[in-house]
Amino acid sequence: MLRTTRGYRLPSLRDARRAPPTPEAFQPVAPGAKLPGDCAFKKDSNPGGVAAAPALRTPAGVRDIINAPLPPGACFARPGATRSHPSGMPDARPQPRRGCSRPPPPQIVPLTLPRPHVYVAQDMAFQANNPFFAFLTTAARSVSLAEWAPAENYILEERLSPDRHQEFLNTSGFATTSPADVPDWFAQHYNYTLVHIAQRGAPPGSLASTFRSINQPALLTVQSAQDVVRVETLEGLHSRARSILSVDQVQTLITQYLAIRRTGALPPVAIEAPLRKWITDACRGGDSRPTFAAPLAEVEIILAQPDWANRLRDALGLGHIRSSATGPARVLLMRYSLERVRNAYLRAPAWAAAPTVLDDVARSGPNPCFFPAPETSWAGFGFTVDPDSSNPISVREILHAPIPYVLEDIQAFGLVTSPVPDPSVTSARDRHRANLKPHLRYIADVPSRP
Amino acid sequence: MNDAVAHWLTAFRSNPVSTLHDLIMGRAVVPVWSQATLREVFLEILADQDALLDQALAGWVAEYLGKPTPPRTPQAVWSSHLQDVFQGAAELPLPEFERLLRQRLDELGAWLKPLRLAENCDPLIAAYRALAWGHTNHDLEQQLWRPLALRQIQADPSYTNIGLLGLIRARDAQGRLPAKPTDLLLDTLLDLADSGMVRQEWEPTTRSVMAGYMLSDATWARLFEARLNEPNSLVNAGSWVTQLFGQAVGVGIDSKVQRHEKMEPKVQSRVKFVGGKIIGGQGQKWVVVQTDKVVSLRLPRPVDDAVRLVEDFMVRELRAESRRFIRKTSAVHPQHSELKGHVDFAIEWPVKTLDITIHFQSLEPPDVSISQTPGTASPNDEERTPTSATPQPGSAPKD
Repeated sequence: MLRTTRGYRLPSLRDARRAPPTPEAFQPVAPGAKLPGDCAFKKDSNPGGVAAAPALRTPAGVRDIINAPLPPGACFARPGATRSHPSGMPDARPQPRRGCSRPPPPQIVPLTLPRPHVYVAQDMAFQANNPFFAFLTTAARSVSLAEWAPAENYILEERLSPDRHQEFLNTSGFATTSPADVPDWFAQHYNYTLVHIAQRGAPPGSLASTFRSINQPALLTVQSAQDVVRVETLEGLHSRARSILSVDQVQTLITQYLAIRRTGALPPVAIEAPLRKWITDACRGGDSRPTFAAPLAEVEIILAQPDWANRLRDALGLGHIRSSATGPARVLLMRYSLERVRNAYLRAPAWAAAPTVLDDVARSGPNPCFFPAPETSWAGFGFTVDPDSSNPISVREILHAPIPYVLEDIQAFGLVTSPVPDPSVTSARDRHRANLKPHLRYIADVPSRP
Repeated sequence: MNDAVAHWLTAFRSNPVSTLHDLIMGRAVVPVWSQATLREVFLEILADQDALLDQALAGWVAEYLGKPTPPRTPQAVWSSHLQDVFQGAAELPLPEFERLLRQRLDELGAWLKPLRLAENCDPLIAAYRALAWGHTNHDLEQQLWRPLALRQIQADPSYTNIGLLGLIRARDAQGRLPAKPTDLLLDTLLDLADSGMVRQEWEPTTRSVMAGYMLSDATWARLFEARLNEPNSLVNAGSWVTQLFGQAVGVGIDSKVQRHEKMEPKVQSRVKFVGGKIIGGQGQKWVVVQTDKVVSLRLPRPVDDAVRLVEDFMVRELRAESRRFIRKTSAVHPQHSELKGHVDFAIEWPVKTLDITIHFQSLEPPDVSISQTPGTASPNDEERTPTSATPQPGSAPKD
């Protein structure tokens, strides 16, 4: 029988790696129905014939199956299908064993997170949902970066609690039906993030799932006595502002404002007042989506460079900000203290979290310039994916709950003049994956690409 | 061009409306658009396929106008998508799309109004903004833009913004934009002052309108003055415009002088020097001291220092001095942070006519006042001078 690295039964996974799943694998499965993997289990691993276990679809179902006694004579691996760690190192994770009567318990990896967690690390992931996981493994074998990178991220994600996982599956409908195709998956990802993360239409101050206890495995405790930086596109902020001014007028005012401020003087009210109103309006038009930010100290060197906009875009893994047929992308460098965030969310379960694949409000598919952070390293922080191969750096990144900007947060105006070609993102991901390999719990579940 | 974008554009050329619908619904497989706003995406499409984008957007709106929410799409998501579409199309040259907005304006209103879920999820105001920018924005001033600006439709700041934007960009029968700020725009700004809006909101709103033009304050003052001299029943507008421009506008001065004179006796035994910002100065007609913090000063030296700094600032009109002033005064009693936020006190005065007079006879109580030469007035107003700036007799001094 096949199992995921978490020790769950995954009847169709190995078959899926050898050959693409048949269309039947993507059809809705009624509770209790036999899955393709169940057949493989009986046929390959248990010639004697044993009744198939119930299909795995819910966290409760998975736990029941893990804890249930196995039929006599059952074994957990196809002959010859041994598992080795991709790095060549001995694999310390649960290994399928031959001839045993019970699956090995999932390995409990010591956690070094700064905040006590109440969840069990290996409770759940997308691996436990057969139809959807089979779909992910197929997508992860695609030649298109737009498809394999998000699929790989979903498979490698370690920080989703069972409840969060189920929240996504229920909202998307993938708890019972796998996506019809990749665009369907992307659309449902977008729906989920708009409803549970951005929470468009919710009352102001609504807290995204990211910072609620449902996301306990990813919540972080961060020193608030530090400044962070963030890059905002001028177009993005202006869209939300519904301003009296045009975007070009705003750019002019901002450059004038910054030029005056650099001299040590205070800008005249004729410039400052409309800008204050503009940024207030922009924040009022925002939603509750989390804010990606990086510590100022990590990028100070970059900010001192004349080409800071391009370099910071790369260092922060903001592959979507790029020059295009319309010209350079206009960006604002924002800087503020995390203390403001902390004070704004004193009563919330958390105000900082490590980013997961489900925190990415993505219009056209989850961002390939993101890589899920392993749970067991670096105190839980994620690292950015830097597409600049000449001098790559990975910066620690966090998500924090949104706060309204003030004008003083704007530190600089810049132009991102370089594109982000897909091959550079692929290379960056390869580097990132290689660096993290020893820490990625589910790396063996990612199929190799053609 | 990015490969995924090129691939998408190929599909778009062959089936514009359906491909655009997929993009709007989040079904596009284009990694570089993953985190982009729809506006940024439209800009990129526009560079390659401007006419086709225009037709596709018009076709898409026409197809879905009045239709219920698509299946497997929560209403909040659909509302958000619609808002993004109209938000993204604003400020772009899309003549056919703009024509559709104008022709089917009533239907749009009936369709989008129920989809308004919150201030940040309001497709109707996004559609109005796209219309305000369009070349079809004409004959809507009294019917739409003015009621929007005056918040007669919805009491959101964004409605005021879009109403004013519609008035700024309202075209005449020949499709021409106005040559200068129109009387209706000015009247609406003045009416806003008496519509229940507080001055702290009115002034930035007016400044935002002004910032879009290349007019001097004197020209603006003349334009407003002309409108104020017309018969009207406005109460706040005159004084607020005066505070905006100072002496350039002759209305409302008398009442401000009276208010200022009434304030003077309130100066107590403790001087509340204001740390914060000094805006204006060199080359400016006005110096404005705004506050974000209050600092109490003991006599005699701190006051002496502070006043000298103010005088230096006034005489030399160097803005850099203002920072020194703020630093020094703030450093005197840093423990007074508990007062922060309670005081919002501003001193405004013409640079060349201000006469600072400081009297103090003993350490307790000091007598410090700021007076002005005859014929000038300080536009200090009651709203920006809360009682905490001028403690009442008997109140415990806070060091």
